[in-house]
Amino acid sequence: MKRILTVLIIWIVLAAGFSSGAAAQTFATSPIYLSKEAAGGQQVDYTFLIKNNDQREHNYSFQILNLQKEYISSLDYKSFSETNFSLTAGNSKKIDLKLKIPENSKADHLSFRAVLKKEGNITKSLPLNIKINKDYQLTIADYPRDLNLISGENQSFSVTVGNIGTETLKNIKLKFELPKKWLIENIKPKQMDLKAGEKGSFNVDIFVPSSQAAANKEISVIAYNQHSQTKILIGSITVKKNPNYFLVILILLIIMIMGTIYYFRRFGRR
Amino acid sequence: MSEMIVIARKEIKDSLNNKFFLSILILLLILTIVSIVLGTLQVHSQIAQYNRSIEFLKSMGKTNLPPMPSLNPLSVSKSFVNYVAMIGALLAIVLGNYAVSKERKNGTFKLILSRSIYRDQLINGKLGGNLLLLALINFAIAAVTIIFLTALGGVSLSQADLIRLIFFFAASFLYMALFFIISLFVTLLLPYKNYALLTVIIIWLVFAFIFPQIGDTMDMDNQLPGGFFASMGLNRAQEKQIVNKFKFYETLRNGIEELSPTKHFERISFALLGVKPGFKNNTAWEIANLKWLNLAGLLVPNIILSMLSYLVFLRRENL
Repeated sequence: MKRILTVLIIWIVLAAGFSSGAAAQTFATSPIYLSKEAAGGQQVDYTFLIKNNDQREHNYSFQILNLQKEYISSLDYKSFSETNFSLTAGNSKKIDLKLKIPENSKADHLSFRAVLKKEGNITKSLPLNIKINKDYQLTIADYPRDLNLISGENQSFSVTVGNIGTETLKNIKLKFELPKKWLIENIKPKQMDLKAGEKGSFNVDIFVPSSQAAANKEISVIAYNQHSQTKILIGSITVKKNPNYFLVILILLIIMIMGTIYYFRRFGRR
Repeated sequence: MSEMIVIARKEIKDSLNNKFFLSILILLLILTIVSIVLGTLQVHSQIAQYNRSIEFLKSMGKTNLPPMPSLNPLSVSKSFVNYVAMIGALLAIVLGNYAVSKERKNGTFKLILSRSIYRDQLINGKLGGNLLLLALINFAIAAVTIIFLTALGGVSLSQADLIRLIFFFAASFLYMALFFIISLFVTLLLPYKNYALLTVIIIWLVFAFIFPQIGDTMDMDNQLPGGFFASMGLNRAQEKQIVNKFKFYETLRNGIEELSPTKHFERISFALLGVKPGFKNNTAWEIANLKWLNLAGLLVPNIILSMLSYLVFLRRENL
């Protein structure tokens, strides 16, 4: 399943600035009107390349307008709807925009604008469109919010997925993003089909290696099929050491203390 | 009780007159202060850089300002963890060796024991005095850390940070105490102070350096730069197959690492200081609860070796 729905490269070439009243700015945008289709839970990525073809440095501002903040997962690696930068003559900058379409997005269409300003003036305003396809929508309906795992042991938990679209979803599978050396021993069933409105549970056996120190960890659960994908982060996983070690240590300590007391009683205090 | 206090006082006084101990202590203090000052200046410069960026953005009329980057002032003590692991342990070893060898050299063991004092009281006095000295050293370093962070770094530590720092210095005390008690026990056990010192140094090298190194070297993912699995271009399924076959090996490797008190000290310290990610939202108590095995790894050998010291000293005739 593709994680990235589309990568679109838009070239916004900034020609030399006005000189002697002549129009010296040219733009090359390809394509000029961008429209795409995405299902809920999917990610849409755009990459913008901005080049300063002028003979001197300029201050730029790149903004996403008319789009609610919750759709923007990141702009230029930050979580803002605006980014400011300056480009020296001949240099260019790549700006990545990542959009996350919410699983239960109410909108059918997203229409927004990518606006580039140079020295505070709008240089380019690009209309962008996303059609939200609601036929195939997969959601993770239930998963363990807090998970306590013991290192060196196998443990089980269940993940419930639901079909909130209007079409049947076939061959739904689970995959995981885990810390190093952690293993998913088994997932039952391996895959499932869900009709519209149905839910189904996967039973997952996870193994945490004994070398895993006690710590707070997170894992990502991804439910997917050929039409839809959804991902959640279980951010509250506490890995603890086996409590049986505590018992062994306690017994060792008691034996040691009892042995010392016996030794003193047997041979007397000197 | 009063006899033990007299012995404890004498221990502190003697140690403070020991030039070798003092020179190691001064080295530890200098290194600690330098690392704290450098760390503090780094925190200070990060705050100043953020403030300059905010001023610049405000002057441009921006209202959507980036939040303060998460600075971790406690991480200035990160280098101290390494200094305690090496110099702190050596300091404690010298202290433990000196506590016994000076009495042997001066023939004062027999003299003290000819008075109305039991052998276990003598050991208690020595343990009490020297452990108090180690606690004072840690307390002094903690105070210096807080003062420098506040005065130089312009950082005021929250109550939660202060509690974390107190727990960290408590762990550092336990680590130093462990090497003091090992040294005391071995010097009581062996007749010559030089043999004893050499034996303890070997024990220290094995537990503090060789065991963690074996653990690291045996880690299959450390066999190639960039990680074994990534370098070999293995996918998750192949990685799973390999890890599955090496479960026992992994347990053995981890077991060797767990034998090292230095590893225990490092693990709990890095969690308390926030050097290891994932503990930001935990209180010091929660970290101590989570890292109980590391705390036990420092505390339990202390208790067991103290008991063994009583047992060895109780029946020893050639003092």
